[in-house]
Amino acid sequence: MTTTATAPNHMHTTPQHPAVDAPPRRRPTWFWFLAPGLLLLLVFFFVPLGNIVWKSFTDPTFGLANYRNLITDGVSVRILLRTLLTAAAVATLTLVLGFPYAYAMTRVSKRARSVMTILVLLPFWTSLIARNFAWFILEEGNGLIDRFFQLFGLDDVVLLGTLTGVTVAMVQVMLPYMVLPLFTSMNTIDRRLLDAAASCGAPWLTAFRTVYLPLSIPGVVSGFSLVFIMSLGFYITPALLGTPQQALIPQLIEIRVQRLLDFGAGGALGVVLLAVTLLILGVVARIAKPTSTLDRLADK
Amino acid sequence: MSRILKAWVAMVVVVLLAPTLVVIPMSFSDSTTFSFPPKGWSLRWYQNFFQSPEWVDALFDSLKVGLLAAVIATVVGTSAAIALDRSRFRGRSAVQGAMMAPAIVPSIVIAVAIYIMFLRWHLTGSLIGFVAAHSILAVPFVIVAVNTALANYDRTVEHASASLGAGPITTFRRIVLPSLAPGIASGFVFAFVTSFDEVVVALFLQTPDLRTLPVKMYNSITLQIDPTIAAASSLIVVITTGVLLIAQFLPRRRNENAS
Amino acid sequence: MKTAPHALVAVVAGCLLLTACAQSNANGETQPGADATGAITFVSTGGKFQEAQTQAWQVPFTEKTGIGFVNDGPVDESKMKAMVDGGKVTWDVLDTSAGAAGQYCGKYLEPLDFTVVDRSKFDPKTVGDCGVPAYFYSTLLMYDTSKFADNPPTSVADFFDLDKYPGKRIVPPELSVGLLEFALLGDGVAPDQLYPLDVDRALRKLDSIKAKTTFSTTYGQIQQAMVDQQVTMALTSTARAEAVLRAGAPFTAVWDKTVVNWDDLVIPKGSPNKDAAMQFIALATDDGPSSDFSRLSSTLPVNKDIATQFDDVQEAINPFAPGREDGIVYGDALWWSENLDTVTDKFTNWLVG
Repeated sequence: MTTTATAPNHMHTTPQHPAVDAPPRRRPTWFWFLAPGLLLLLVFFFVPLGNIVWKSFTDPTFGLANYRNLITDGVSVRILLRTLLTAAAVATLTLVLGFPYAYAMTRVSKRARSVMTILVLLPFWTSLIARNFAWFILEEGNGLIDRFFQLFGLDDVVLLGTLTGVTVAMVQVMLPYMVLPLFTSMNTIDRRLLDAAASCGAPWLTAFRTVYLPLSIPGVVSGFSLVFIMSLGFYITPALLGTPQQALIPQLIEIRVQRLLDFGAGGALGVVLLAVTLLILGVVARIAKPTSTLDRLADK
Repeated sequence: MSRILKAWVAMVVVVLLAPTLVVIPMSFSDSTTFSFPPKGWSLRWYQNFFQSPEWVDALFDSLKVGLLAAVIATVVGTSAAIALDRSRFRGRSAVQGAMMAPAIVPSIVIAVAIYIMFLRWHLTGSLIGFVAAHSILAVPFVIVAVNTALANYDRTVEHASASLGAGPITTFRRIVLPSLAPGIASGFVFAFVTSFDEVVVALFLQTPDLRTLPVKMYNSITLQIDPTIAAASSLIVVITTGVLLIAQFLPRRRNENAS
Repeated sequence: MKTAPHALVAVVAGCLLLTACAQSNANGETQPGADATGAITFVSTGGKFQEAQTQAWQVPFTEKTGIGFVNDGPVDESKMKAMVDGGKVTWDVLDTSAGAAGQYCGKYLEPLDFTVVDRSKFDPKTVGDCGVPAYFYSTLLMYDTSKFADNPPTSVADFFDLDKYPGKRIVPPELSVGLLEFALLGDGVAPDQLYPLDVDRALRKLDSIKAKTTFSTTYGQIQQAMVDQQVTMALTSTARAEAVLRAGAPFTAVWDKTVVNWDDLVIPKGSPNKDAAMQFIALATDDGPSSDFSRLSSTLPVNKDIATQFDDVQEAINPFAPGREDGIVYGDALWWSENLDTVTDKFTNWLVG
């Protein structure tokens, strides 16, 4: 609008300094700021992703053959269900372990809270492989867990190579991702509501159940869905501690792509996994804000 | 706080931290297998870690890739975060979502996608491919870190600077960047750790010439039965724990001195 | 204000350029055909076995030609196929099963130059266009004597009997070394009726032990599982069996049936050091290096006329020792050449199901 108004004057006077016209030019500036990132992501992220989606519909033949095979080969569906169940188990166990921890974090002094936060974040920062290796040693035959159960007369409790072993290890890996969203949400709950309930005559347990728990649901949903989604796509722990006979979706994807060089089928599995992830995220987005977890993780 | 709650917290802490400690005694075992507890003691695996060319190469490959990826991710992520914070255009939230997408897509899907694409582009086992792949994985973390700094940043200082006659570049260089520096720095650290610790994509892209440390560690459990991984794990655990604790307590002391 | 973001783009571009430069300096042999005097990348199954190959084959070759070696492993035929398809081959010589050598000849493997490698050295039935036999080895059935001292297993069928012989099993990472053959033999099929393999029947037999079996991903894994006594029965190669016995693990072989195969040395298509690789294969299959290797690895040399000196431990696991030859079952490399890929697909799907 400004330019059209000044245009007639522009014709009769010397050209003005560009800085005066600065406001309309700010958009191209931010474009340049965003360009490198968008280009990087386009070339190395979106194009490869698009490629496997494309391949899932075209390799080896054009059409839905890969997806049809997924449903009919009797293996993929079973593995998908197994993965969903395992992810649910991991999320549930971490919720059970993490909820009291997060609750305790809201109740302690600021200093104790930061200590508790560091303790939760420590494994998050420690090498994932190192942690999985530790579980490998613990779960192997005649490892510490096996020997521990031998004390009680239970022989041959070798968790290595079982889904139980994978689940246990994943719970440890996923705990931070449960505790932090829980805490972030619980921190917003006004504890005086509990006091108010007490003053109305409710015993502590009832007050907790009817007042606190419902208010903590956004955090619970946030943490549960985050852990669930991450467990679905987690490759390292099942690959290291599990077996092919009890493969989860990420292992199946790896086998199809690397061992059988079947890019179409692998791509189709990946698309299915991605679709499930996005579906859950979409549903959860209406109840809680998952990105706040990432903010919390950044906020050490 | 009730005793049950305290006990529960203690138990969770044990679950979180204790298992990892197993790697430390394991690293001093003199056996060539992973049997635990060790029957004999030796420093051979630490020796092997620092002397075996494969392990040393893996360590340096990880550092190389990590630093390069961290630089690129920090530059890209910081400029993106600032741009997204200050601009208002249609599709802004789409762009924001796009830049955060690598954190949402399951890593196995990203890994096979990149692997299949890189096979076509002849980029498997190339440093540039590795760095690019790790950069995109790290960008979301940088954006989050810088966003946190941006949230606490008050733009009125910029207006003051402009009113004093400073041009936009000077303001950017002298006011904006220094104020955001802690956020940018922590974004850099996030990016480096993300790359240094990344396993899945690295497993697919590995070649004899380019193997990062996590990949070498993974291979030494699954392929080679090499207890050197215990030494490597112990070193990483001790170093990252130490750095994290120092990073946590150092600023506090500075703040205490300031106040 | 425009210069700042432009500088930004320049910085990012600069970084990418820097990595490209760093790459070409750091990784010497990434470009195929770049280095004619470059080291040969030799790929095998690792451990003492590959050390023996280094000792018996690579050392004399380096002495003779001055060309060095880079050792890698394990052998992964899929990885090799991906390399060839992707146009970026970093492996020069592979120690692979005869079946794989036949199956991938031409498309993924270089045809051998028989003016360099003397074809007459070998039994005509064992030579292919892309691979020549490097050694003969066997797949043995072994059991933990500390667990089954009283009523030891005596036949292949016992491997599949979890009631009488409880405990975990472990089997080799390669399909064509005899896993399916053992399953059929254990199911009562006569050795001369094995081929063509009834894969479905073999998989059904394997179903009986599937839950308790570790399908190893490397031979090293088998060795470790036996040494740590994590399994009570194992199908293993003679080389790894020797290592296990020398480590003092209480295992003994069951002399009912053993499956004998040979491995080939092959060159992936597009290998950057093809000519040197051919010369290496010629040397590795000569009588001297061949029998040296056999002695070090408990295998049998290419030229069966050479008698190899085995010590006591090696003799204990030698299926060609007097009295044991009746149990020898030769794998059919030709059948595997034609069926390796389809059987692998079927097997992999069965495994994860």
